[in-house]
Amino acid sequence: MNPDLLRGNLDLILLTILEDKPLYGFAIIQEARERTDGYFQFKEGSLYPALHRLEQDGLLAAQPGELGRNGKPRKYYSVTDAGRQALTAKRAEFSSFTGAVGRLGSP
Amino acid sequence: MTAATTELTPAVRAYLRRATWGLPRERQQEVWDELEEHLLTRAAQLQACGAAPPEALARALAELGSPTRVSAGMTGVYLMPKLILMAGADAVALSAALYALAGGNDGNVITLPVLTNRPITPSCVRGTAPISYNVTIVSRRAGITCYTFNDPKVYEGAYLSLSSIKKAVAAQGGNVTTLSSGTIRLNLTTKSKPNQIDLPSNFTVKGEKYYFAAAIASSFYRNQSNSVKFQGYQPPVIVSDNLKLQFGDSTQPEIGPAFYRGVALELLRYVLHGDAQGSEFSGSIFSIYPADAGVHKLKTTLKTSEVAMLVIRREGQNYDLDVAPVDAAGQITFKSSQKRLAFVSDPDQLSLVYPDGRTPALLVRVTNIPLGNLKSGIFVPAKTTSDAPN
Repeated sequence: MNPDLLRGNLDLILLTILEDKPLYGFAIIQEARERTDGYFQFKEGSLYPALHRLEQDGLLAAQPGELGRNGKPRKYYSVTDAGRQALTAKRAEFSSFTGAVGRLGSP
Repeated sequence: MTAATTELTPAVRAYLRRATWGLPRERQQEVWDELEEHLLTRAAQLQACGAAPPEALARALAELGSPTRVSAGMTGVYLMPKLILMAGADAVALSAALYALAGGNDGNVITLPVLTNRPITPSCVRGTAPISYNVTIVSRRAGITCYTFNDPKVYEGAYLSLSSIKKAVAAQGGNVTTLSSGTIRLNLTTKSKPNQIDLPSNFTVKGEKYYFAAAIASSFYRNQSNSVKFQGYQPPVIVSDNLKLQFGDSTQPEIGPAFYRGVALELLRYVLHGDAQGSEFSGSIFSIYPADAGVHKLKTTLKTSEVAMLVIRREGQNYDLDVAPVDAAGQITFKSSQKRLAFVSDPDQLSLVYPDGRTPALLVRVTNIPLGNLKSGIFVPAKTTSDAPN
């Protein structure tokens, strides 16, 4: 897929993935890949800064989970109430956008 | 950094160090742990699919992408002004956009607003009053004479506010403290030792103190390795492996001359000695824009937007310097106190005495060359002499 599309909608995608259950970074990548049959191939180097930014913006919250392979607790991200509101708004925005693009392409 | 597991290879440690470089100390460990966990989990997954351990770890590293990109993204989150972040773009996209604006590299870009004119405030002397026709006496009282310069260029320069200085230093992993004298101290750490630079303020505007932009430039490349490069003229940019400092923007054409005027002597130090912290350099700039300047228009093969420096040795360690950009036609216009120049290819040749009275002059491209190798920027144009019109 066009990486610009992924980058431009990264917040929407991450919030959607985390909407139902908290996940840690590596698991988010796996989840995205599995739920889209490999369509979303995250650049990990972009993922972590995005997660931290969403956390800083209050749209995600982080909590420690089970120990990872480095012996440290894994950092799980979950969507906050503000994040759910943002997700609703982003979905509406995305829907309007794709709808408009669709209408442009209609005969 | 305290994270350590028996599974970490030197390559992984190097990656994590680079990826967490420049982050606030309290964030470094957190990001380190998160990335380390990711790498080890992915490597284990690849091993389960049949990859040998070294290959698995190498692939996991490759998939994680450039540590510079991670570092840029993270410093974008934790160091960029909150106002910018709230503009809506995600940090990586923002970083990429700023990077593109600055001319492009892989690193985090910090744009520092530059003030180009300091307030015209009187200079005062006790005793003998200045008699130069270039000054205006504004007061005489109790043996103290105060005056201002008539030439507004005297008040031109490239100045950074304290908040910009702090931002630039924080991006390098350091901090700024204010000494009791009012001087600020830039606390930076090189690979081997702490590096402290003290800066007195130049002036205050609307309650904010300002400092020479060249001083922060100097701190930047002294604190980094000699791989630091300069780029561009409008605006000037200093680039390291993972960070760009951009001074002002392209709407302020006056920044380029003022900025490079401030760093010219440091650049010369690199040309002559190859290191800003090598043997002590006792030279001084005799004059950058002498009143009786000769104008030399030189045709070069350099690309547009490269910047070059003209060096003439006047006597001893006194040099006459000018820095100018290459224009769209590949031409550079220098000013010099000397009107008949002969270009040489080595700094040692600056002492040559030509029978025809020409002055030896050295030309050095100063952009897009690591400072530690700046001497490689020396070039001689196809026309090896120049005669400035009278």
